[in-house]
Amino acid sequence: MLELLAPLHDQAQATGRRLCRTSGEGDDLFQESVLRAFDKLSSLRDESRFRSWFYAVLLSRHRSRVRQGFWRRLLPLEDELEQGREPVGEDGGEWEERHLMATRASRALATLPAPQREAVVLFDIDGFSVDEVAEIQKTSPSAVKSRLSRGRQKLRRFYERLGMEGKERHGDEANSLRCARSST
Amino acid sequence: MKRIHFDAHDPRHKNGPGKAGSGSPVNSGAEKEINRAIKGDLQALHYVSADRPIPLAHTKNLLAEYIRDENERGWFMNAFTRIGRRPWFAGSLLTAAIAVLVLLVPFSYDRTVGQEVNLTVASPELTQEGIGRIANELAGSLGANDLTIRNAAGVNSFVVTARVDDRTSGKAMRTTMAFARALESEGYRAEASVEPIVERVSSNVYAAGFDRVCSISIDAVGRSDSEVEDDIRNQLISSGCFDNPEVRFTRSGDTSTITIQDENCDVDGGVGGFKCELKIEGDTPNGLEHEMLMIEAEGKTDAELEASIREQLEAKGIYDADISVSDGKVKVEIHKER
Repeated sequence: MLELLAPLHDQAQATGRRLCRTSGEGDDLFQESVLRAFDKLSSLRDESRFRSWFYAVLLSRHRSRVRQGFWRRLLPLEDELEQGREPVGEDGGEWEERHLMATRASRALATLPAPQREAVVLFDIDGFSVDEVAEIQKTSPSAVKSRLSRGRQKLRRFYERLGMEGKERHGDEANSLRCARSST
Repeated sequence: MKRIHFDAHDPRHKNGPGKAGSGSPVNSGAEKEINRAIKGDLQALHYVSADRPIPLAHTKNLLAEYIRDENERGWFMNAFTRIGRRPWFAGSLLTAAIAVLVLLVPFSYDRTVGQEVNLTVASPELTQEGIGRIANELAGSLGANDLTIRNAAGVNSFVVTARVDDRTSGKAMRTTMAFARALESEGYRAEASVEPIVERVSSNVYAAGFDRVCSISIDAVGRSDSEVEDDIRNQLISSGCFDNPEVRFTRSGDTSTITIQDENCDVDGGVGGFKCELKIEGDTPNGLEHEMLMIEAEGKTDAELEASIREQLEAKGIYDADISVSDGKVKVEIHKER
């Protein structure tokens, strides 16, 4: 199985992190998915479709974790700095700003229902096509488009609220959009 | 550089910008800024999440360890672990186990285990030997396994008490009434009563379910309507199927009608109580025995209810019944040759 997994190992792992609120949870999700995929490998009929099959397993585990672990939402977001990842060299400031933005994106994605979050992550970040996302999510392309549309609307609303909060707090770096705007 | 797809375009609309959730155009300045911010943040998430991935070698070790653990655990623990990984399956298994326990684990309930027949006989000429002979005849007729004779209030008055094992009172009631009538025809004063013997027993749900079949015996010859009603009411209460049934017995020409109603009866899930009407055509009921089938109707379609009634009737050897069920109303006609 490792031969099949190797080409998409890092990409799938990153997808796991994007689907979860923290890198740690994402890594757990990926590892669980690897073990589940190993258990179910006999159900894979065509090895050329391993990529979409493995991603389907990943999403299945993701849904399962969402159902089981609603209490996880009550836990505070881990700070990447606390995990021993520290800004290095001259780009330390940029590194920190990027992590703040990524954390904010994770928080925004966490407000979406699992199917919408998966659609946004797979299509908007991972670069899958609508048809590929439909195959992975085991649904129709129109359903994927609907999920994308609704997911994006919710993301916009989250950022609208965040913008208002940011204005009220006058310079709260973690919550305002200032850093995001300056980076684009 | 990775290009993040996110923009204001609704993927459902291929031609030009779509609309935001509120229906407003997306090309306003504020919305553009928000879209730009989201795009920037998603791009940042793309980079950060791809940073320092777990090496493939680590995943390889994880798999190797997993395979080793599976081999060490053995098939039983592996099956247990796999069940644990499927919460829905584990839940179904637990529910099934609880259902089996509920059905098989004993619980206490009241059950009619027999009938106590009391026959009070009085006559100026009645002697000890005479009452002994009468008691033995009664016991022989009933098939009683326990017989006692005691003096009653009054001169030459005795009470014969017999205990029979019949769970239903019909046969005992018919036999005792006939015996009492025979004694009266010989010049004795005789009064008979049959009381159920109820004991608290411990059994499972299956056994309790079978106990809910109740039989009534209708003997209307030489008795007023109200006496027959009281008799049927007592039989229904002693059967355990009803707490306080309203019973009406009417005779009109060749037809006798019995109406049984109990608003508090828990048959049919306790909704709407219980009501049934029995019509007996022909001669006045004399020792006619009716067995009432208590069928759980809640949640059943008319067809399922009809099938359930037919199944129970056939179990009792009745194959030629006309059964019709419409909107939950049941009509059963049984043709019985006299």
